[in-house]
Amino acid sequence: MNVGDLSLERFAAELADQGVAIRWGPFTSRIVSRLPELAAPIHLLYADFPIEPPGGICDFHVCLRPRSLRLPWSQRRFELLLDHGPTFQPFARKFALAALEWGLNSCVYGSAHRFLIVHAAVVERDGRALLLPGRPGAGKSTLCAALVIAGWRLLSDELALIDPQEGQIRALARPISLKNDAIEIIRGLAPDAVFGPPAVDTHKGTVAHMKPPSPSVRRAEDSAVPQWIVMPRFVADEALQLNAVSKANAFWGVADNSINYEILGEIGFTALVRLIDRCRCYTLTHAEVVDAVAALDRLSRQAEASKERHAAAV
Amino acid sequence: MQLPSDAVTTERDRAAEIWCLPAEVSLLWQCWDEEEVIVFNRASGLTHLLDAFSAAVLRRIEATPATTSDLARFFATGFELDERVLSERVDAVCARFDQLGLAEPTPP
Repeated sequence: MNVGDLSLERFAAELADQGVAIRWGPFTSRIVSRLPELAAPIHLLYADFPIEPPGGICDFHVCLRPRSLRLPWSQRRFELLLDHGPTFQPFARKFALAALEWGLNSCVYGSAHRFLIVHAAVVERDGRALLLPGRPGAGKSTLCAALVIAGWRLLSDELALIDPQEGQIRALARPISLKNDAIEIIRGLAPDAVFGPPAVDTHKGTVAHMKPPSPSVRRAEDSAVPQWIVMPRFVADEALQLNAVSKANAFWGVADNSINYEILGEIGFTALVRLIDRCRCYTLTHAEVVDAVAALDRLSRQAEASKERHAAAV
Repeated sequence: MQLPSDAVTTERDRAAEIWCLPAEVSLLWQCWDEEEVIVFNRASGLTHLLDAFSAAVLRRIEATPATTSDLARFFATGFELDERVLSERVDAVCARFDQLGLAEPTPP
């Protein structure tokens, strides 16, 4: 059963009572929320995600609940508990959805050390995965959303989970977090895209979440083989440049954006070397996301054409 | 001017020191091109990016512990550098390896 198979009323009731165990990629989170207004956006954005039956084992327990109980309901602040411990500073209720999404990311950062975790968007086409590692502001989520609209499969807009043994990237499709101008840019590219309610005046500005495409969510069990690493950089008024970089440079670029490279020690080193070994590595400077998507589409088509030539020669 | 006798001794001892990897150090190497080499130290969990010369010196020390003069002589043919410059570079690189825990001097 998926989230969207429940009526909103029933989903809201379960969310406020025992919580709902939602599976996303390799993880299951039990989410409990005492904020009635949070039920509708979760129900909307996570409609295609499977619900695990009650009583099962969950990787993470997430709870949003009110604090400052002496204040009237409208003035209360809220807190997010992860595995029963408090996380961020208490927040205003209008930030609840953004806090939940950051909280779910933080669950992965903090404990999914069976993977090499890289702060990167990941998309896939024809079985080949493209990693876009970068710090906040590099434009990776915007580029990721635009690539998904152009037909690439979403694996993650935020976290690349690399299996150290197999070298493949696990899918972790969740709502794509967009900020400020990127929200309207993506709405312009895909007027039919579904968004949750925007959170205005967060510490990152306005944040809104785009619903992940249903086919990407349905393929949550399909890993992808990494093929390209592209380190994006958004620079206003700059001409598009897609330049090959040395593997040593790419190694440091990815290591710098890894959450747990040093924690994993030799396992992390070996996994990262293998990742770099099998990928073609680039930097991408762009001002217009449409141009960047076109350049990355060309990379993908060249790889497909080269595969076809090879098959014909054999 | 004469150097104090202890300073002379120190200088002589230093020249005779043999550079080797500390017992606990075990290295993993990754070289995609000649110019930049990545080495992972299993003991510290740290990763280092080395230029071609530093990598060559560390590989040599790993294979065969040696004095800095031995190292300078060994590399005299491979790197087209003046002998004095080469010797200074070897000294500097070994001192840096010592700081990073990648190599250490031992008494002869």
